Amino acid sequence: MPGKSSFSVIPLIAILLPWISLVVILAVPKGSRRVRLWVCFLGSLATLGVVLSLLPGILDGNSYTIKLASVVEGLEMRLTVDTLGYYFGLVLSFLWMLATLYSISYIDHKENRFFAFMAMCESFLLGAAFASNMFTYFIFYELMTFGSYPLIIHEETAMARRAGYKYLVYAISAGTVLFFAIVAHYFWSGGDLSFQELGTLSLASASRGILMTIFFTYLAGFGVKAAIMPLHGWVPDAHPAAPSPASALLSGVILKAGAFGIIRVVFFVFGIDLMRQLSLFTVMAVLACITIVVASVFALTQDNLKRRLAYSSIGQVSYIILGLSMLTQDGALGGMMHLAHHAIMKGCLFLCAGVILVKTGKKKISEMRGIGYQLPITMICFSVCALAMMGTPPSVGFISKWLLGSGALEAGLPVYIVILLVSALLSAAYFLPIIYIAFFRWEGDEVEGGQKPKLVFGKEADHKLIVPVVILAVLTVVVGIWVTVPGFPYSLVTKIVNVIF
Amino acid sequence: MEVEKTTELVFSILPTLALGLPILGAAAAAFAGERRARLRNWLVVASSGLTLLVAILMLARVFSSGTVYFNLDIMRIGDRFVGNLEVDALGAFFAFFAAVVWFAASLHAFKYMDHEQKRTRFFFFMLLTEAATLGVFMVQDFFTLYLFFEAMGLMAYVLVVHSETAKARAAATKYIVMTIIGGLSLLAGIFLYLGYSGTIGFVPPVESVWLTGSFKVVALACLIAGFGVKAGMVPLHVWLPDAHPAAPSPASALLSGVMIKVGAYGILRTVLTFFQQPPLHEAEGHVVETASHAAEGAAHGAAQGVAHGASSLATNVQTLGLIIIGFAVLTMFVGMILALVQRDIKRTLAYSSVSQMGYILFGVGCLGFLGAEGGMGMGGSLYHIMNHAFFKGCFFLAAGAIVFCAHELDMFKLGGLWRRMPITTIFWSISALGIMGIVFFNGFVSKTLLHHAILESHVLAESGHLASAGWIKAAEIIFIITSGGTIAYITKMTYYTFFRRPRKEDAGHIEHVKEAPLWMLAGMGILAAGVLFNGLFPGLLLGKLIAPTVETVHGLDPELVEHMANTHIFIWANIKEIMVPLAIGISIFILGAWPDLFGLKRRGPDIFAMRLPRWLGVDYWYVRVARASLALPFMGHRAYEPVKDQVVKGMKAGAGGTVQLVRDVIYPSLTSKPLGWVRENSLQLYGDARSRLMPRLREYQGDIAVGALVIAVSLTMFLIMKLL
Repeated sequence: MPGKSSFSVIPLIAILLPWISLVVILAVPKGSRRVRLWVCFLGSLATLGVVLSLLPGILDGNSYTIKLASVVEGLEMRLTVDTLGYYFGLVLSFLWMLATLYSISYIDHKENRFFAFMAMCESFLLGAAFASNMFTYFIFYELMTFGSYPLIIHEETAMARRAGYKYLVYAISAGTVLFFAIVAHYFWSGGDLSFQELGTLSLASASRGILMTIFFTYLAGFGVKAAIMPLHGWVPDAHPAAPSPASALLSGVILKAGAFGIIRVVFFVFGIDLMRQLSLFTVMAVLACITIVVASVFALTQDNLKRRLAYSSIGQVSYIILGLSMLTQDGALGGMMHLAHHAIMKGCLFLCAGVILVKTGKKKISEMRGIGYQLPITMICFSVCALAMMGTPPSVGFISKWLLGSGALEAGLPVYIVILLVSALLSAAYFLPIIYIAFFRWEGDEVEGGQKPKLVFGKEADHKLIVPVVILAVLTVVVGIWVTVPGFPYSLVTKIVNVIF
Repeated sequence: MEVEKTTELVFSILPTLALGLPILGAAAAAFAGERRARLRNWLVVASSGLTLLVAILMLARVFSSGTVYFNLDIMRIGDRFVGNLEVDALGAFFAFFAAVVWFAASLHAFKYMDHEQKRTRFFFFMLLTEAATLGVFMVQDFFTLYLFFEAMGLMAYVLVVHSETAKARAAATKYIVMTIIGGLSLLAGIFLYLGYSGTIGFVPPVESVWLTGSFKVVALACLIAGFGVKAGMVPLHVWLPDAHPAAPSPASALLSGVMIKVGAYGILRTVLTFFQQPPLHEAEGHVVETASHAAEGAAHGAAQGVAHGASSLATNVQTLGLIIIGFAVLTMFVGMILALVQRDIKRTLAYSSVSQMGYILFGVGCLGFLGAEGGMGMGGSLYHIMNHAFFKGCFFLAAGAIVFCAHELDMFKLGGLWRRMPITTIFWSISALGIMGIVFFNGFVSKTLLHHAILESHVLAESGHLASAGWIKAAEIIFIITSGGTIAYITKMTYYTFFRRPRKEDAGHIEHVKEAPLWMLAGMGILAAGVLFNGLFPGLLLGKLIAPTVETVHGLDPELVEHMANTHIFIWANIKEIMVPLAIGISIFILGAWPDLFGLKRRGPDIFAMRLPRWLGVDYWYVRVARASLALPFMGHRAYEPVKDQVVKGMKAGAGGTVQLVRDVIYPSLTSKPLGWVRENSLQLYGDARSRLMPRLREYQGDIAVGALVIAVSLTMFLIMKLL
């Protein structure tokens, strides 16, 4: 049942809605803090609502398109909501809504700047998600890069500035590389930058060498955001420096924007057949495997919680790359589903880290003894997500791991399973001690018969901090059990996979 | 690719109840909390009691009407990976005895937990672990099994670490490391199984897939290692002797009574999976249906499998059986030796569990070796699983009573407890007679069956002139020696704890010991009654419970199962067999305990206090490897930092050098001559360029703008790099 593509202004509305927050902040920068910030939240909620309104149509296989501008003949800015774009858009607008709610309580200075740039970033990212061709994607992607800079340096400490600076260096170099990729792509594909389900390039359009150059230029360009290993340098600095909701978004969504670009390149520009003919997948797979293992090992050595989480993110985003590189149905399914799964899990973990920071001021894991008694709900949610990251069933992490493993078997390469299991083992090694320290140690437990702290539920933190954490932790399990519910990642990603394979 | 089952599927709500009741109980107990402690304890007892009731009903239902299932997807990814609750006879059997032990343990815990902290947490996780454990038994595919298996392993961590002393923490850490590694190994095995059989169910749709897959050995090793960690199989047992004593006694009873059986259950399932042969016509259907890579392999396999026939399959399973027998013998012997030299009651019991798991695996190995004729091995194994659950559960609960009343677990510091705790002594003695395999107690029955199984294996190997005949003979001898050793360490423990006159320095303390509270006695009593029942009515149990369970296994010779069910247990030939172990056991006991027995002064070595060098144990090497591999990342990271600094320095130097090169060499060389000429003729050149370029410029405005942007971006980057 091929869906129909129809004109719709809804994508544009979704992109413009976050600007409401911006307008409100600009109009009444000194107005009541409550009203201002809650309007920002409502803006992101409305955006989510608008995105959700497209769900039934998308599940029917329709797509929605609107042309924004035409730069030159054949090169236009166009938004098209196809299933993949919609999937990413849904994930990001959902996480954004929760992060905005969280920020209302979390951000305590210069909140106007933070909320304004947050809204702007959401708008740009939605534009990138809904982009119908590489040109549009590039524009929004670069805008998002600059929009997210103020989020990273928000604390304005020396560390934050340095991290933001590093981020800019990396992102701008990546943008340049990406630009050359797009120019080459534009030239060799005969001016066709659009995303097609079977790819637009073929061996007929250019020689092998050129196609491979284009591919690797793209990979290098998007690889910076997706934190593929030699290009990951900015991630472990930016995450701890940014305020927690921003790190949740960085890890949950912005890193994924890079991965999303790679998905687009692999399946919608090159296409499965060409990928197979060029045997490009091996390089991707090797890079992904190295990243997964090395990042997990680095995570093990970190004592700063957010830095550990950041390294973990580097490894986990490469799950997506690994899934793509398998070029099998289950691999692609697992990889693409991991995009949402990881956003849920890591979003929750970073938000938990934020609660810990706000309530106890502790950043280092070694200082967190007995924190589970102080912040029981937060740490229970943290534990749930940490176990999910290890791939413990029933959770979204297990679903990804299972599908990736199944995809590896389909590809006839069980060696990937070894990588997945090593990664799971390492993530157990760096996540379980946190749970252990939080719940089974306490201050002064070296002395025999020391007084154990009392567990007190409720009243641990502001509801605005706790609610997003709990929602994400519940989703980690719920999405991991009722995988096939329409609107959950599986329903959307199977559609994509069925089309491209 | 649904495989037709020999037994029909019957819808029932019972599996869901068995899963749901403990979870509900856990929630209710957590809700009641410490403030309503009595209500909470009653809720725990009630929910585990109801679960036992459901388990009994389920057993009856399965035997009367085939496999019971509940049509709710526990896990589902698309249409290919669907996990249902589904209980066959084997699962119902395991669920039944697990529920019995759990009920007994919760009765015991009612009172026992009074002297522990964080009771609500303990009860909460105890019931959740029950749900997970029952879940493992109530599924028919590896996919869902893994879900429950992992859940059980992780939740039991809280039970092990419960007391939160340094010792318990260390034990729990070892436990969790082994659990996670075991779980991953299991997952790898399941993946490989999936890859080479194309299914996650327990029954492979194509038998011969196993014969062709090059990774089948790896798959098998992964599956057995994964389950073997839980089962305490030597050399993967290292967590067990630390974790079981560290946990509170009811939890130790559960760990030893039930949870290690989950490992045995998994190994049994694995062997049966390899062993059961599905009809061939389904294999063809499977190949047509699936077009995946795995199925292509399966198609080749099917073609070859028909050619090879069943003989090669039999050889494979036979080898597997032999390997399992090898591990089983190692497990039982090492466990026995280590149990013999312990002082701590619970540690002795833990090593005893290792040793007894060897017996169970021994039966499973015989099943594999004998193939279609392996009814005896499986029957003996199942019987011993149930027996061990009862007597080891009772032992641990009694140990709990001892520590509760006498606050001491070192058997050499105890003594004369039979006067103080007569009922506990009776229950303990019943269990002791059971584990020793004395006539009319349950161990006798299962050890007899196991011995018959090894004799049958030997006959088979002899008649087939197999090279393994000698090995099997050796296994039989070790089996007998181990039985003797078991008798020795149990007698030793019973003697020192209950019957020896206490030492002078401990006598005052022991004077004040009182009998255990009623709740604890009730828990022990149930299990002791189970020991007696299993010992006195073997015919009934074999005919009504074990044989029907074994019969459901596809491909076993029904006549031999019948033969197993009708084995005469209480005949002289069998009773004669236990004389040798009894003689060995009593000799070892007297050799070790003569100074205390006869009130003499010790001369020569004390075999009950033997201390082996640490490096002899695998544990020592595991810990060393683990420490080293944990240090590795840190070392790597430390080594990486200076390299990174050098790279960054190099990049900066490179950028600086380029700038210098341009400024000092390239730019001056350009400005010296050619540019002088350009300067002189610049006006003319400008006019030329203008007239030529302007029209084009208008045409390519867009491109130039884009180019400018690129240059701007590059320049910015360059500047930033320079600043860096």
